[in-house]
Amino acid sequence: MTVTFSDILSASFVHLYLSLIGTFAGGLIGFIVAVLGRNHARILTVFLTIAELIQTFPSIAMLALLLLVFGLGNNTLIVALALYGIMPVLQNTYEGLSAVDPMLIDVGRGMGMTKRQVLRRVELPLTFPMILAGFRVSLVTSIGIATIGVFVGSGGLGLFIYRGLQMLDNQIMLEGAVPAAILAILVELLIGLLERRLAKR
Amino acid sequence: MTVTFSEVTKVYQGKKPAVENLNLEVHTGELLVLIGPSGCGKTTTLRMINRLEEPTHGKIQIDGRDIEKFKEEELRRGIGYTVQQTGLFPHMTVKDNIEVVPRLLKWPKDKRDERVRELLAMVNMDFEEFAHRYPRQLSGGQQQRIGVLRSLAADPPIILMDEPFGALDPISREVLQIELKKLQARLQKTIIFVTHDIDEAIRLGDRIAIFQTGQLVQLGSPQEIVKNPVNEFVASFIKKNYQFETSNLSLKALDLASVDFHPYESHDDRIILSIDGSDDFYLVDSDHRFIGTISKENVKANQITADKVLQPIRVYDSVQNILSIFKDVNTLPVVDDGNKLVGVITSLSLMNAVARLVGGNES
Amino acid sequence: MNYIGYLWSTYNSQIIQAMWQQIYLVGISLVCGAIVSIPLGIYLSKHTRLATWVITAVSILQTIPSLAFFAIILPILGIGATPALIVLFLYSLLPMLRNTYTGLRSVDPTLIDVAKGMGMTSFQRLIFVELRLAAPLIVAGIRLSTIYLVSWATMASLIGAGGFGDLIFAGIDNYNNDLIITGAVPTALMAFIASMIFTLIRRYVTPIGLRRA
Repeated sequence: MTVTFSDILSASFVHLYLSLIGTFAGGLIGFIVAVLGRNHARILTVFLTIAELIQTFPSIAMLALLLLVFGLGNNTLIVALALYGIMPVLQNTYEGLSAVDPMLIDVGRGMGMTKRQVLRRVELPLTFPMILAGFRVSLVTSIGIATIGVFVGSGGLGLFIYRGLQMLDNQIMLEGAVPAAILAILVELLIGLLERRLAKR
Repeated sequence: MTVTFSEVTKVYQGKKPAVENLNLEVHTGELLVLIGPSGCGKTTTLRMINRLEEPTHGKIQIDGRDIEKFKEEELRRGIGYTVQQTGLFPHMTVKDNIEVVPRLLKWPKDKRDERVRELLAMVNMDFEEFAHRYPRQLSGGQQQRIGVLRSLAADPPIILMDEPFGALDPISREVLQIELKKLQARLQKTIIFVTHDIDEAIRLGDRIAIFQTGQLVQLGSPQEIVKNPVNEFVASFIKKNYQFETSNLSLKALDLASVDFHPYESHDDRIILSIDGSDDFYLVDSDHRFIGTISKENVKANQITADKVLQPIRVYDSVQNILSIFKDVNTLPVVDDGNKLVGVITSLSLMNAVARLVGGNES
Repeated sequence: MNYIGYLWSTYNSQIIQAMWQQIYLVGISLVCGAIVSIPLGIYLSKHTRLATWVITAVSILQTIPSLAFFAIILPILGIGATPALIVLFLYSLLPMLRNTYTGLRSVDPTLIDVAKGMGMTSFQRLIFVELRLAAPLIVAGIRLSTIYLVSWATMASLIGAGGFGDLIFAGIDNYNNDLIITGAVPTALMAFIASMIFTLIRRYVTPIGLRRA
């Protein structure tokens, strides 16, 4: 059995697609919690502790346990990715928001902006680079975890690695492993580059 | 011990010389102030003495011995060093901080303990109360005091101070300046003191060295410099920073005051203080704001209300002003701009101030 | 309770064997990683230009998905515990290296200047000032590495290194939920316990003068 280039390409897209869905879902939760909880230290601490615990959970153990609930297929993987994706965005958004110079918020309020406008026009734009950094960390982690999604029946590049391992075929294995590594490194470098662009502004 | 600079030049790569052809002798037991605008070379000059910077050309000697001849670490252990942000190690207690150099010198524990007690006593800080606190638990002024004590710990003959009071509020700064003067009168160290505050220079310096873009432009006693600035730069530097008063004594109210309060007791949010040389007690609120004075009788009778309303004077009031008021009263409280009680002028404190002026020594 | 008792009585010998294998994999790679990365972090903190390159290189290494990494190493080094240890060792480097480096670089330069000015040798400065102040961050790095290692060591089962992964993967392959739970829950517990231990150590090494009131 041979793997064609287009097989690899389509598996890469599936891989990236699954990673993005999971990351976005988790990031959205993290973002919302951070924004709503920014003035409620206690609630935020509870969420941060939970998110931190999830982060500590070994990925294959998490997938295996979710498998019992969500069954074989992409759903289990996406739920796991979303869970892991909460923490980086939550923490970075929260830290970014608390690092905004209170003077700027005062100035915004002084110019007659409502709290919501201050958030949208002042706080979030200033926090954006931090949020993006959280998203990058989260997406790279997701790409890594997505490779082992194959064990719970999801698609993506993990499939080739799994097949290769089972058939003891190094070539097929590498046809999954190398693109997965490249994908992760590319995402890391490209989003990192974007962050540096933003930081220069 | 003397410190001698002979034709010392320091050049950082690709820049104009930070210090150029400096010749300077620091005498034994004097407090020499190095002053000038930022980037003038004063700090570099200071840092070359303990070899935190190495001169590009020229020679620096301590008591005639080239400092290159010493092992770097040993040289530094023999020279006290204090910096602006206190430089206290946050992970060490007050005692551990003070003991750093004695430990490096392997003093036995008893001797170190005794030394810490002795030093804290010099600035009226209670050993039991302060020795085991961490820097974070001290006020800015207290931290800086510990910074100064730390540089004195191993009893070095030479002490380098790099804007040690620069980060303090004006009141704490004045209090510490006065303390430093007292310490110096007693210990007679050779102190090299960097500042950019001409007021501080005139107040503290036996001599002042004024620097401009790496050059030493004038060296002399405060009086000489104020009276005969050698050029336009020096004149404008003095004028800009220091409004010269009718007397060339730069004394202000706080210099004449005693600042050694003793807490007597506290009532709710009010604190009663006593001070040497005054029979009265002084009532302040929890923020140390001045409320009034209370006679001894009333304190004993537990009548905690101000019974005399002495008009306090300001820290910066001039000597002339004070003396004209003092004719009619026995004591004169001194407050800062926030109405906080910072000292009391008494006959005793006046006499001490005069003694300092005349003899440089205190009874 | 009954269920746990049932799992234990059925699988106890496998659990214990897997646990020791996992501890062995994590322990050895962590210790080796620390021996290399902490001194390297110290060295790099004094050579910042080199540091940028090394840290970038190690970060990229870290980005590679663990399964992909195992798969790439397999054809080169074969299967078993040794190749697994090599991969785990490489993976453990970054958190410890980065935290050691950042911790040392974030020590207030004034303190280093003063320590120098008071006559400490560079070794004394490192021991009494820099490492003392950087210790909490370094321990945080060790904690992160340990958590990652527990997770990746589970994957090492795929190249025949044993550990809890054996139970989990066998459970998935045979649709045996009991076996999945028997593998996954102890793995997670191991990560939590390791995390807690290092959180406590971190608190302990944080100088009293810097602890939050």
